[in-house]
Amino acid sequence: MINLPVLDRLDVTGYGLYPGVAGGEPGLHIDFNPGLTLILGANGLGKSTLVTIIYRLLTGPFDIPGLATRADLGNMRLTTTALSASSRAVFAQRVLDGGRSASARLTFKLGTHSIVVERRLSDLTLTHFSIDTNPLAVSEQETFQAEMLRLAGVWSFGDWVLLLRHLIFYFEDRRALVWDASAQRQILRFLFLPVETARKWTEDERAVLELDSRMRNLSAALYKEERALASSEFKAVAGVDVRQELQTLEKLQGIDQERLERLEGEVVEVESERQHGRLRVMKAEQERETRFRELERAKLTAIGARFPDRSETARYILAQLMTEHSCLVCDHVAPQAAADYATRIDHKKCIVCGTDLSADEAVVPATDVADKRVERAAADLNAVDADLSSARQSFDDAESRYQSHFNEIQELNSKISDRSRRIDGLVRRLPPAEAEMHQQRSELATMRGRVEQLRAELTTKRSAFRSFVEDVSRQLATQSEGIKKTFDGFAEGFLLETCRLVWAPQKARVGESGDLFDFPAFELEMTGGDFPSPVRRTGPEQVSESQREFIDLAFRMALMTVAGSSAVGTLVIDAPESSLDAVFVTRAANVLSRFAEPLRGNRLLITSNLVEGRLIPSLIQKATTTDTERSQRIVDLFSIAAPTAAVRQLRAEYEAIRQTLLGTGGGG
Amino acid sequence: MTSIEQQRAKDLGGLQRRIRLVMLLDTAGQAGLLPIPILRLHTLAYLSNVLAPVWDMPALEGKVLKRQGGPFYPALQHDLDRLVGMGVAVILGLDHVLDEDNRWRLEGSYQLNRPFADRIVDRLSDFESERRLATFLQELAFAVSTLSDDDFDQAMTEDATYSDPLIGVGNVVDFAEWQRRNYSANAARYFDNLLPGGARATPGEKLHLYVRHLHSRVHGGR
Repeated sequence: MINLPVLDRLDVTGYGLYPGVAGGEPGLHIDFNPGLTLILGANGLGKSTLVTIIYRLLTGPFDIPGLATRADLGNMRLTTTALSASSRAVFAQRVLDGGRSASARLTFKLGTHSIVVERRLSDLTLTHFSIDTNPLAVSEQETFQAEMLRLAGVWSFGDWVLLLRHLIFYFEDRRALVWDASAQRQILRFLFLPVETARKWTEDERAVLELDSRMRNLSAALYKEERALASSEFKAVAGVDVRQELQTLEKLQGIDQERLERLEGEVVEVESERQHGRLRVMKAEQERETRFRELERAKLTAIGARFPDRSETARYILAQLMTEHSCLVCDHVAPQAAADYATRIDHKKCIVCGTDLSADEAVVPATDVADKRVERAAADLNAVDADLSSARQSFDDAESRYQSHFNEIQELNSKISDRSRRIDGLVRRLPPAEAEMHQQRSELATMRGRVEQLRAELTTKRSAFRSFVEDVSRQLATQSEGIKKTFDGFAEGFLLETCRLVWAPQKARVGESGDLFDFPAFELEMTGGDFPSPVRRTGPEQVSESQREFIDLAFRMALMTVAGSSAVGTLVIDAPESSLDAVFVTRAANVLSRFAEPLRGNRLLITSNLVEGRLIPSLIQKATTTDTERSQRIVDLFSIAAPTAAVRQLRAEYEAIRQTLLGTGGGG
Repeated sequence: MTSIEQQRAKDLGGLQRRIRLVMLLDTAGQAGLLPIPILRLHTLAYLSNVLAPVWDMPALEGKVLKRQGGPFYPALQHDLDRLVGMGVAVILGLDHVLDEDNRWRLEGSYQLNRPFADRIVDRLSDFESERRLATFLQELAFAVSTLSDDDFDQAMTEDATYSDPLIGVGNVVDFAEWQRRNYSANAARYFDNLLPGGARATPGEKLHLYVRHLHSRVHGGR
């Protein structure tokens, strides 16, 4: 189990951006009580800076290069490196004095241990570090990073940074974890696997990647050398024909190899389309079966109301005839017979003998109700039929793309291999080479042998890693039910649609070549206007913006709740209102408040501009009952931060909005 | 493939499924399993697919959608409907019920209408490959008949392939379509290693041992 950071207190002193409340203690001081803390401000008052200060207190001047650029983690190396001088000076650049005397101190818990970390804001240098009040050497890597790993229960500082960026901190530039299979795979790895297993995963995967890269580099170098040698050789030959043929073949070989590489790079996407296409068809078939049975039941009821005989088989056959227009007895399509029966039902006549039943008082009301049900069910079935047909069409397209892709790869492989033989044959027909060429050939043979050796090693390593991933995926799958249930608990408060997580391992490549691996991951299924049953939503663009944010939030909360050693954690959300549809605001506040119930012990830190709307009042209302409580939970940057020109000039307007949102006696 | 050829292949596929259904129902009858409730029949069909390699036969359907309530093949259900219409099968206790996901499904039990079904079964027995298939299905039905109704209904929660934790509910259990991941057949074959004195189990014995293993798992055994 992992220990998630639980924030207790933040002190920022000597920093020009936060001079402090007039007449009070200088600087910014926040006690993070269990539950909500709301940082309230306006543009330029330092909300996001505050969040970044907390983040940097926890990471120090280190980060994973490229992590903040929203790139797919894919095969990225997840090791941290020191920040550049300009990145370290990010806080210094915001104030006139370069933050020379500014420092920030964070008190937080990891498991049962209380940690204090203090840094100079000018360059993030560590100035104090203690655990359970015992001061430790202020060494970044030897003590701070090592102790964070030990106390959190992760094996690398890269994992610690991933944990902060993908779970704890909800930055504005975030990637939605629920739709980011490559990030999920890493998060699940270190959240739910023992430290040593999580470490082995990273190291083995890295070993495969490095070998893949070495093999490909050497292979490319070999190819280049071979071409160079062939070029020297045909320069030495007098025959124009051989030279021209070699030139042409070399050119074609280059084009085909380039094409092959591109196609191989697209395999993951084409395969994924095919997998999702098949799944959609199978689910649509099940859905169709359900709707069909619903209509069949409705028709049976309608027929049964007029049926003089209780023969089940006959009733069943008639219902099928009227539902599908196909005769189960002779297997012919019989729309006329179906229409005839329908007319008899419509005219309230016995479906078999045509006797007028309209006089039978007991039957009429029942049949009317049943007939209406039939109409509804028929409309539902038509809708599902259309969906099934479109699913089949998409699947056929995806399958045919896959087949043509696969065939082209095979063809290219075969062409390249044939052409290679022809090129070798031509080269052998060249006149005896000079000593240097002999030497080159012999070196190339050694190089070729080395490429083969690397390829064999890579195959062995890949195979071992594949078995390892399969084993650990089984361990992770045992946690999936708990995560799904917890997610349901958070999501149902927010979404009106049925929304659920599905354990759905995703295919990905380790390196740039080789077969695909099944890596552990969740996908999302949700109902929608056109989808009465939940359907797979494979990308964030398939849900609305409000849904996207809160589905991802619910997912993070679920992971934290299940993975955290004491189910307690911290969530830091920068400006959540920006992506929320007005009608979802109260629901969002409910979900956030549930996470932030003080008894749970979680810390929820939200920054918000002073904007009109229901989010701030709803959150405050749910989190506090008294003015004192309110002042403890609201950090008012209007009174703490250095005012911007806008705040100075429009203070009265800001104050009016503040009064509207918070009522009198708001925090300070 | 032209559209006529595609239609022909589809018809043949449908016929093949119906033949296997008649044989499934016939052998289930010999094992005393008839009338058989719909979901149990689908489970039996699934087992006949997933365990076919034990008999050195290909699965008729190499994939199934993983559902909370166990395997269910919409195409097979359509074929059952057809068999009822043709008078080859009879449905008893017909009803429509809401399943665990609050969705409508058919409820009822099937059995063969002997006067019509026997003509088909008799003719099938003239062919070697169908006789082989019938022997496999018969062994499977006899093996499964040792399970109580409750154990039968829970069997899928313990079947090595269907309950594979790597495949979540709502995903495709693919054991013989695009990949070869048949843990059930592997487990059944593994019983060879457990027999004393290096003896080898017959395919029939492997089926019985596998079903006994399911029973033991349902009752908490490992």
